[in-house]
Amino acid sequence: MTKRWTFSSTFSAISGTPTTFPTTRYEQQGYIVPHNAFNTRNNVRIPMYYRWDIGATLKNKEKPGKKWSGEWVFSVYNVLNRRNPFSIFFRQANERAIAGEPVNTEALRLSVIGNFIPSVSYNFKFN
Amino acid sequence: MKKLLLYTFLIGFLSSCEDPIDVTLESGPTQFVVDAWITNESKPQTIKLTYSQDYLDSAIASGVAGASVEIQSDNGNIFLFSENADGNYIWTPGPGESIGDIGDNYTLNIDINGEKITAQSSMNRVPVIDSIFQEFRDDEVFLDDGIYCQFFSRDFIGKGDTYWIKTFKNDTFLNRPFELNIAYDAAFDSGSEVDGLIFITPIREFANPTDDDGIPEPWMPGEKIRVEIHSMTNASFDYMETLRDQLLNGSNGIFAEPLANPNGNIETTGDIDVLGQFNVAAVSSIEEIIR
Repeated sequence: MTKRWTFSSTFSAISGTPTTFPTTRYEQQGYIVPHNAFNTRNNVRIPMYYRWDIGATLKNKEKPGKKWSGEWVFSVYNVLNRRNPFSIFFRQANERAIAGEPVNTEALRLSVIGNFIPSVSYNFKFN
Repeated sequence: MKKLLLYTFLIGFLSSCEDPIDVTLESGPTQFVVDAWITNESKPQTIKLTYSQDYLDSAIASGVAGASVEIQSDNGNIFLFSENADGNYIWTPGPGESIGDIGDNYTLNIDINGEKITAQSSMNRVPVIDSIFQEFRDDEVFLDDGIYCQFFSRDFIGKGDTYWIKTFKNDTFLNRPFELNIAYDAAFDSGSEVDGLIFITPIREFANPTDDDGIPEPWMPGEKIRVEIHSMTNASFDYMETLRDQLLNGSNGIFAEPLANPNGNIETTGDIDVLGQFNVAAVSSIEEIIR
């Protein structure tokens, strides 16, 4: 861009992992059993993974005779702030089930890094 | 303790990225469900017949009405279960009567509008519970100060005894997924090679109630603890082991497993498989007041 600034950007798109989702549920001794009525494996794919990272590097001014040069790097990981699913799974609520009352079941999405992460670093080297 | 530390770390760190989401699930056919876990105790025995329902439908399962249900033991006794409300079929033994003795084999026969459903089970042996050990613990990492319990019992010599250990607090069964306690011989699974020992420490310690995150909670003086060991057939153990993996999936973090159907032992003449498990258990129990 300019003599001192360089910019970079990365976009990753990864197709979702195949996994098995339940179709139905039933009860056994008060516990909820998830069940896939078709006995199939990998009946769904979890949503795609998208991530956009950007970075900018600012080089220090060059001074004749200086023994070292340095640069500042500003970057943001996951600019779109997407919670990409690492996995999607199902469970019954952790609460103690009360006899005669319904037990909730839910779908959960696990994202390993669920936020954008800004960072600043300074690198230097001796000439 | 190190393991608990690790789990707590994983739960604390990873649950921050865990969100409940809305997903659209494929709908499956409605299937009959048999919930038949019978014991040799001299109290009313219930078999529950219900229909399966969509996974995210959190309503109470609707019961199957108008079925005939009986259990036949191999020494010729027939026990008729009569229909009660909501798909419950109940057999009430007379005073001192029970469904049979250890070693007996049983066949469950159900007839739902001409569809014949059967299952087999046998009553396996169960060890006596020697004692409950109450202990005051303080200054333990991640544990609240208070009284914690362990039960002591010795597994029979001979590989392949399987048990379901149930703890009751003031007569309420501790039925959180974290509190499910099943044992193969004296440990967790068939590969452990711990035959004929006293039940190992984590299994003893599961006699304590847990909180929402699976961390044990202390008992209060005056509360009543009852521990029961129910014998299971190996087929029932496999069923419960697969189910346990599913129930505890939420605490596995990044290691959550894909779904696996537990394999029940119910057979049918109908076109659609019948779900569930039939098990006849011998029970030993002990109860104590917390001091």
